[in-house]
Amino acid sequence: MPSLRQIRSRIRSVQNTEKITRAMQMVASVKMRRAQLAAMASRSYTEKLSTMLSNLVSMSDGDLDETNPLLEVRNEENVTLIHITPDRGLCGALPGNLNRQANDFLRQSQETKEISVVTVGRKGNDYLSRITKKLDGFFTGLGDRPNLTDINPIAELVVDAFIQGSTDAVYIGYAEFVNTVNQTPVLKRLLPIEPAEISTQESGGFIYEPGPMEVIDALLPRYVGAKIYQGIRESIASEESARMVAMRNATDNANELAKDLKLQANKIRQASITAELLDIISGTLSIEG
Amino acid sequence: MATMKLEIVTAEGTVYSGEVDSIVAPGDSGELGILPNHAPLLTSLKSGNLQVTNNGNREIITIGGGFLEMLANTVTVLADSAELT
Repeated sequence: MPSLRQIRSRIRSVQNTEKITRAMQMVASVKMRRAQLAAMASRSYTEKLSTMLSNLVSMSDGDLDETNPLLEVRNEENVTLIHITPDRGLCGALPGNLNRQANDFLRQSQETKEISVVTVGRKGNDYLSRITKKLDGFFTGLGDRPNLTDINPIAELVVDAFIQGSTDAVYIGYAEFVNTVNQTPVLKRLLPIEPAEISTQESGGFIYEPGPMEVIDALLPRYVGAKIYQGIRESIASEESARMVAMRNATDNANELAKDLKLQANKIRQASITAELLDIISGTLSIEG
Repeated sequence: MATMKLEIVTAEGTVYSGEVDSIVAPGDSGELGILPNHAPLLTSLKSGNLQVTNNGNREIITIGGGFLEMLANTVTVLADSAELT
């Protein structure tokens, strides 16, 4: 049985931890709200861009394959994976889930393809740099609110590699934000670009300024950038949500633990009082007797 | 008088949304004026000022390149960056 003093010091340490996790929970929930709004905003931007793109492609009678290198479908021998993860931990199972997805992807296709990796975020880099040697790039410190221009270097890296032919397909893996308690790791193909099926919207008879080819040449690189940006935004929203939930669980657990310890401490206190009383009673009895 | 819907969207969020009378946009091949019920149009934009007229009030929105789409009397501007000035 631990002494009363030991239990009291444990209670104090648990309560201190609870204070920290509660503070982190509150910080994360503020960041989470902002990050979720930003993720939604970038989602609508990407969707609009993708509608524009499919309208454009549906207009041009399928002879686009030769017109822009970003649309060219090649045999997948060299593949690049962009792995987006949080920079910081204490966000539950999120980085682990993302890393498992990347690991599965590497394992499945390693036999038939050469896979090089571009990591965004420290958690994924720490993990993948241990299991693969082909690390093409590492980006970190994008912060909570990156701009579209901040991710340009990432987009340039993969677009250049794709155009030069050193990679035949680019995949992007990130945590898709579903809701506060639910984030799913997803893996999507980024390049070559596959325009979505033509929307039901009436799309005929567009006037293009300066011309359809010029517009598509300007649109495609932006589309790649927007996709990566959206992946990062979703990942940030997922990260903050996961952290908020993880910290809330930690706070709840700390409270629970403190409650149990207090009960235990009170029991010991009571037992020692009872023992003292017994001593006194037996003492007085022996004097009287 | 006829109006059209204008929406200016960047990756960071919607910058402008509302009914307007006319737009002058910095198209890649020159300034470009758009009035309500314009034919479907898709153009790339260079960085510059986008001028919006609404009930005689003029507003200037500085954009940093992007695209403008006119479809079904709705103008969607997808800008790399945009700021109301």
